[in-house]
Amino acid sequence: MRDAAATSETRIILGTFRVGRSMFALDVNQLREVVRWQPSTPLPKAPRLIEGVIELRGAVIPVVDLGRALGGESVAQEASARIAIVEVDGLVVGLAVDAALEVLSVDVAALQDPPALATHAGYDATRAVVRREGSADRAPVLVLSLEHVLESVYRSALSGREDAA
Amino acid sequence: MTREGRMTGKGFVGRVSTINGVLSLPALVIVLGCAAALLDMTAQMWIGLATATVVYGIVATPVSYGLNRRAMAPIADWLDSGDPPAELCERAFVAMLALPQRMAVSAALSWLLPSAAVSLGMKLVFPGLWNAWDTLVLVVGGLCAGFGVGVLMGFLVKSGRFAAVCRAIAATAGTPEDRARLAPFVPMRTKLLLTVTGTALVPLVFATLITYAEGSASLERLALGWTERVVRDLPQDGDEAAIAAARALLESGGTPIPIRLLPLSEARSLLPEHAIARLNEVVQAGTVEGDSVAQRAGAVFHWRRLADGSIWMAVVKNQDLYAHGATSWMEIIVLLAASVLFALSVAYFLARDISSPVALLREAAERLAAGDLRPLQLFESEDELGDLSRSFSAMVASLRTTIGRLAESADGLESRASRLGPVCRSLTDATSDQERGTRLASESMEQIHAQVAGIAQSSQALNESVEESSSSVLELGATGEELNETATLLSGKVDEVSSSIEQMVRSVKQVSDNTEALSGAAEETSASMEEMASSLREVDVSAAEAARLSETVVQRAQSGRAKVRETIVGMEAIREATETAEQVIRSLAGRTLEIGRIVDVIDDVADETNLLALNAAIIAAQAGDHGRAFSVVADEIKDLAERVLASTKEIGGLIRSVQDESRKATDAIERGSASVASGVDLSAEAGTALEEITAASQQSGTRIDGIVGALREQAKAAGHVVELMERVRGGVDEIRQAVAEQNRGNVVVFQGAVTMREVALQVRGTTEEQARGSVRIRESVEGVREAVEKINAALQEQSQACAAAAAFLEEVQGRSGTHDEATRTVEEVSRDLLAQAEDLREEVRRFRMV
Repeated sequence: MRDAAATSETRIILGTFRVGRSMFALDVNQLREVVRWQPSTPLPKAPRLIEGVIELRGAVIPVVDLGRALGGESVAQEASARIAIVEVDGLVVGLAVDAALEVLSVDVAALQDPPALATHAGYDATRAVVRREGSADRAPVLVLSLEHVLESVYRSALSGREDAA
Repeated sequence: MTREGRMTGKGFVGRVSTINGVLSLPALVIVLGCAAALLDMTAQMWIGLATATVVYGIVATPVSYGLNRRAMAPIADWLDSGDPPAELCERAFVAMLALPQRMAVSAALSWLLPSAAVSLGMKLVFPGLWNAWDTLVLVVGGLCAGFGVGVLMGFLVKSGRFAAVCRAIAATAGTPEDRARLAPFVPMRTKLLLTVTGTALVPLVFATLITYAEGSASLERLALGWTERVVRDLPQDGDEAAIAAARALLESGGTPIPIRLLPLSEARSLLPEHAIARLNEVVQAGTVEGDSVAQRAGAVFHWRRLADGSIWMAVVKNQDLYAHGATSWMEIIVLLAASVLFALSVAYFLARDISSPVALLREAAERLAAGDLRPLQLFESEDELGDLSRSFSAMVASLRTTIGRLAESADGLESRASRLGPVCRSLTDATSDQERGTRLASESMEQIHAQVAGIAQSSQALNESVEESSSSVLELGATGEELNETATLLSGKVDEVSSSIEQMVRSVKQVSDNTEALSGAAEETSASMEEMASSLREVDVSAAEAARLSETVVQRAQSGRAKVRETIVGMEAIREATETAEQVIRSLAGRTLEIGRIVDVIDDVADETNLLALNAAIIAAQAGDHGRAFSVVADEIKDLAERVLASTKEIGGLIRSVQDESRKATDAIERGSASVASGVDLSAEAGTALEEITAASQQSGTRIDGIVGALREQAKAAGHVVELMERVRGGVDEIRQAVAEQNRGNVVVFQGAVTMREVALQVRGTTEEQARGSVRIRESVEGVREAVEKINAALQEQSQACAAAAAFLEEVQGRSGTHDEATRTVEEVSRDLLAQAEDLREEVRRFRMV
C-alpha cells in the first residue's frame, strides 16, 4: 500500500483483469503492456505453474496462468484472453488472464485491507480490496500481491521437485 | 428230446457197459450152476476152473470193452459234438441201428468163447480127469448163457433212454429215404425164428443134460452095489477054489452087466494109470476096503483085502455099463431132435403170422405212395395187425373219395374257365368299339377346344390393351364421387357376372360328375355346343358394344389432350417466374455473406483498437500527469472501439437472420419449382396416356372386329361339332338340366350386358361435362374393359365347357382302356385257370382208382 502511495499522494492507477468470474487489479507501474493470448512453448522440467515461454519483440518471457496460480481453473483460451506482461524486482513475467478490462484511477481512500479473519489465517494473496463507489451491483476489485503470486510459482517449483524426488 | 437232457458219449458207453456187466452175473450163475450140477469134479479141478475163469476174465474184459467202445464210437462222438456234421450223423445212425445186433453177438460170443477156452485149459491141466462130457457141459452152458445174455442185451439197448437217443440221432440223419438206405436190414422173420427157437431150446438142452447125468449116476450106483456084493461074497481065508468058482460064474455072464473079479495086480489092464496109482497109495496105507466113487477112473469097482493079504476087486467098465443103456441114449437124442424141429416149426409159423401181414401192409403202403388207390384186399386177423389192416383200408377209401372230389372240381373248373374265354373275347371287342367311338368324339372336341383357345388368346390380348388404357386413365388420377359410384356399380356387375360364371362352372362340374355313361357325355357335349353358339351370339353383341364404346373413348381422349396441353403451357409460365425469383434470392444471399465478412473485419479492427487503447492507457498512467491528456484520448478511442464492436455484433445478428430467411425462401422456391416440374411432367404423361388410350381404343376396335370374324368361324365349327355329337349319341335329360342351368347363367350375363349399356349411357351423359372429362373417360374405358371381360368370361365358359367335354371323353377313353386291360387280365386269369385245372387233372390222373 505504501508502494502505491509513493507514485501519487491521493490516487492510485490500477489495470483491471478478469480471471474466471473474479476481478483482479494490478498497479499500473508493475504493468508493462497487455498482448493477445498466444500459445506458449512448454519448458521441460519447469515449475508446475509456469505454462511455458513466449517470444515478445525479441525477449523470451515465461508465462504463468493466473487462474491456476490463484488456485482456480485454467484461463479459457477465448478471443478475449490476454497476457499481461508485468515486471517485479526486475523479473519480467507474463500473466495469462481471461480478459483485460480497463485502466482505473482509484482514490486511495477507497482501498481497504483484506478481511482480518483471512489475514490472521495467513492469507496474503491480496493486498487490498477496492470498493466501487456508486454501484452496489458491481463486484469489488481485488488488488493482487504480485510477490505472493511469484512465491507460489517458486513453491510450485519446490513441490514439483518434491514430486520428482 | 432236448440237447441238455441227453447223455454224454461217455455216459452212453458207460451205461451199455454197465448193463453188460450186470447181465454177466446171471450168465455166470448159469455156467457155474451147470458145472456144479452136472459135473462130479474134484477139489483140484474146482480150483483150476476158478483160476482159469479169473485169468480169462482179466484178459478178456478190456478187450471186450475196447471192442464195444469202438462199435459205439460214432454214437459217443455224435452225443459229444454240439453241432454234428451230416457225415457223423449218418455214421452214428448206422452204429445205433446195428448196436443191438452187435451187442447181442458180442455178449453171446463172450460166453461161448470163454467156455471153450476154459475147457481146453482144463483138458491140458488135467488130461486124465477132464473128459468130453465135462467139455460138453461147459460149452453148452456157455452157449445158453451167451444166448440169453445176447438176446437180453439186444433188447435192452433198443429200449428206454437208448430209444430216445436213437430217435434224436435219426432226426439229424437226413430224410426217411436216406435212413432206409443206411439201415442194415434184418428181416423180422429171422429175429423171431432165432428168439423163439433159442427160447424153446435152452430149457430142453438143460433137461436133456440133467436127464443124462442122472441116468449115468443111477447106473453107476447100481454097478457099485453089485461090485460091492461080489467082493463081500469072497471067502475071508482066500480059498483059491472058491475064488476061482466065483470068477468063473461072473465070466459066464450070470449078471445083467459084465462084472469082472480080478486081483489088484491084474487091474492095470482095465483101469487108467492115475486110478492105479491112487489105488496103490490107498492100499499101502493099510486100508481094507474101497470103491471107485469120485475116482473118475472110467470104470466102477469095489476092492477088499482078504485075510491072506491078497487084494481082490470087482470091476464094471463104464463102456460096458453105457453099452447096456445105449438104447435110452438114442431115444433121448431122437426126442431132442424132434423137440428142436417142433420148436423151429412153431417159431417159423409164429414169425410168418407176424411178418407176412407186415409185409402185406408194407406193399400196400408202397402202392399208395405210388398213387394206386384201388380198393385193398389185405387180410383179416383178430390182433393189432388186423386192426391196422382195417384202418389202412379205411384210409385208402377216404383218400379215394377226396381225390375223386378233387378230380370233379378240377373238371368243373376247367369247363368254367373255358366258358370264360369267349366271354372275355366278346367283352374285348365291345370295349374296342366303344373306344373307337369316344376317340372320334374326343378328336373333334379337341379341335373345337383349340379354336376356342385361339379366340381366348386374342381376347386376352384385347383385354391387355384395354387394361393398358385403363391403367393409363387411372394414372390421370382424378377421383370423383361419381367415379366411385360408377366403380361400385361396375364391381357389383362384375360380381354378378363372376357369380354367374361360377354357377356355370358348377353346372359344368356337375355335368362332368354325371357323365358316367358315354351317351350322357355326348348329350352334354351337344348341349355345350348349343350353349357355345348362344354365347357366341352374345359375344357378338358385346363386341359391337365394345367397338362403339372404344370410339367414344377416342373422342373423349382427344378433347382431354387439348386440356392437358393448356395446362402444360400454364405450368411452364409458373416455372419461369419461380426460377427468376430464385436467382434473385440466391444473389441476395451471396451479398449478405459478403457483408458478414466485412463486418468480421471491422470487428477485428475494433478489437485491436481496444487493445491498443488499453496499452496506451497503461503507458499514459505510468507517465503520470504528463500522460493525463493522452490517457483521455486513449479512453475515448477505447470507448469508440467498444461501440464499434457492439454495432458489428448487431449487424452480424441481422445478417444471420437475413441469411436464414433467404435460405428458407430458396428452399420454398426450390420446392415450388420441383412441384411445377412434376406438374409439367405429369401433364406430359397425361398427354401420353391419352394418346395411348386413343391408340389402344383404336386397336381394340380392330381386335374386336377380328374376334367377331373368328367367332363366326367358330360358330360354324361348333355347328359341325354338334353334328358330330349328334352322330355319337342323342341327348339326355341330365344334360338338358345342366343346359337350362347354364341358360339361367346366360340370362344373368345378358342382364349384366343390359346394365352395361345403361352404364354406357350414363357415361355418355357425364362425358358432356368437359371439366370432368377424364373421369368420364375412365368410366368409358371401364365399360370397355367390362365388355371385354364379358367376352373373356363367355370365352372361358366356352373353353371350360369344351375342356370338360374333352376331359370327360378322355376319361371315358381312359376308362375303356382300363376296361380293355381288365378284360385282358380276366382273359389271362381264365387261361391260367385252364392251365391249372389241366395240371390238377394230370395230378388226379396219376391216382389209379379203378
